[in-house]
Amino acid sequence: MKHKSIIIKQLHFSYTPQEPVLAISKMQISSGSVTAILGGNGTGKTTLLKLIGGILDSDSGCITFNHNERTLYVHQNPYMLKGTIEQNIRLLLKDSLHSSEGNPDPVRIKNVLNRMGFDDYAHRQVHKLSGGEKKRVAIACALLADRDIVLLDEPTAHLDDQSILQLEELIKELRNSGKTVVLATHDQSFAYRLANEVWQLENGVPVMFDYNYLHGNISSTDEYFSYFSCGGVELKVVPARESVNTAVIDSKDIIISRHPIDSSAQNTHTGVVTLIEERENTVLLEVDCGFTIRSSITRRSVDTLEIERGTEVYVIFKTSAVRLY
Amino acid sequence: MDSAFIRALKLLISLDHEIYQIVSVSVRLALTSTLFASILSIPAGILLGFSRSRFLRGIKIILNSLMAIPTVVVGLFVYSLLSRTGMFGSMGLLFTRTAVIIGQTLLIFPIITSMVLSVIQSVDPVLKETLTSYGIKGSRKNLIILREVKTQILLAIAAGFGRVIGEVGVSMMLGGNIRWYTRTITTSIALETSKGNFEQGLALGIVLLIISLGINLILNVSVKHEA
Repeated sequence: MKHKSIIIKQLHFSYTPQEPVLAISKMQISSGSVTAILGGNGTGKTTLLKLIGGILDSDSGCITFNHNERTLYVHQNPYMLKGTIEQNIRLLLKDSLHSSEGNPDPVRIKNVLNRMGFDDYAHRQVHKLSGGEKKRVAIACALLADRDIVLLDEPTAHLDDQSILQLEELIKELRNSGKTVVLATHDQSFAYRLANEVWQLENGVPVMFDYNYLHGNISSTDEYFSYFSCGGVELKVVPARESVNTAVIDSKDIIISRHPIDSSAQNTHTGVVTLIEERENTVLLEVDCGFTIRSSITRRSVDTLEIERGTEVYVIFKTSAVRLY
Repeated sequence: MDSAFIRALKLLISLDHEIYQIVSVSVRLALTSTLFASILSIPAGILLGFSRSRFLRGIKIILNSLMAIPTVVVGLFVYSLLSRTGMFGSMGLLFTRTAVIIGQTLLIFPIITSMVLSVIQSVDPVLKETLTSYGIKGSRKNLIILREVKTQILLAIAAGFGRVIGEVGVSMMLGGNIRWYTRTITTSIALETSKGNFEQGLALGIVLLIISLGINLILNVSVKHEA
């Protein structure tokens, strides 16, 4: 299991005493992963990111970071300083871009801008950039700033489909380079495609979705099913288009059995229990089937089936339980 | 009226020595007082703009009240200080260009200070959040904010210049409207009009208008260039 990058405990925040915005008893965000925070307007997503980013101070409670990791908050409408893209980067990152000569390293700036698709545009005036380009510049700054935790506020707001795809690639790149990415969004589809963990904010209280987010691709389709390939295993899913890259399965929809069951469920995989975590009314099992899947079952089931860490089990779920994004 | 206007134009085209001397005095006095006021008021506005003092609200109310103060009141106040019986009477500054510069500087100090203060306080909060997020603090943060608002600060200076070039109360009371010395465009217009000499008044009015348009044009171009 991944170690936690951010641990939030007993956090309370309000703009006015009469209207509490956030009340978090405990929330943990895994390191080197993408965590999405879902919620409608005014649910406190932005406030939470700003608290994590140190832009706001909480009324009470604490936010602790693993190994003093540093954060960078990217606003949903990033502010661009007057001037060119390169001037923005140099001004914002003056302290973190110093090369051995004591000047900002132009080669590094050029490399990152190239990756962001700004190879010929470093000298473009920022006021001429579109909303999507501004976001890409902001992400470029985040890459250059080399922060451990990147907080993205509504990253898909005002972006067209093409820009969203480019943004997804950048976020994956951040994750692949070991950064922890926390994104606040109301775009569920975007969140499911990218996130390893999803939280829902309801009236200022975060609720973790015990969903399984499996990232892969559609390998083939026959008369009845499409086959979603992930971790060297194929899941039977409803016929789907080839662009699908994420399968989401609610942990409550996963049946755990010690023996094969003859049923209408089309997906049966064998695996080993790697984690047993007590929840308020349930127990969360993590099973390694080639891909990692979590199942939420009752304590009685755990006892009846005599499940322990290392127990071999069958993981069973219906084709229709798999949502594709 | 037509003939007075044409005569005013002829006066301008003929490069009338007295008219151009009056314009020169006006512009020099206005530029000097704007310079001194800017030296004092821009740092004051910046300091107040970045300040979190609990007295700031009161200071803003005072500055806004002073912005609307009639020029003759400023003139009267400085006059009382510079007159023979005043605190600085022994310096013999009354009815000199220095006296006009002092009065005009005091006149526009609250205008430029208040405008700079408002400009800094109304900076986009996203800019402040962005700088905080990048760990930019203290003087470097303030310098970047000032870089972002430099055009608006320039506009505040221009507003101050516009106020002094067009004022009459301070120049009249402290300069005394002395020919070839402290006579400015506005005091001359008042005098010549009272004498029925419309063409000279009109000619100077046209010059004032051209100066005003010129300033606005330059500012417009610089704002557009910056945007």
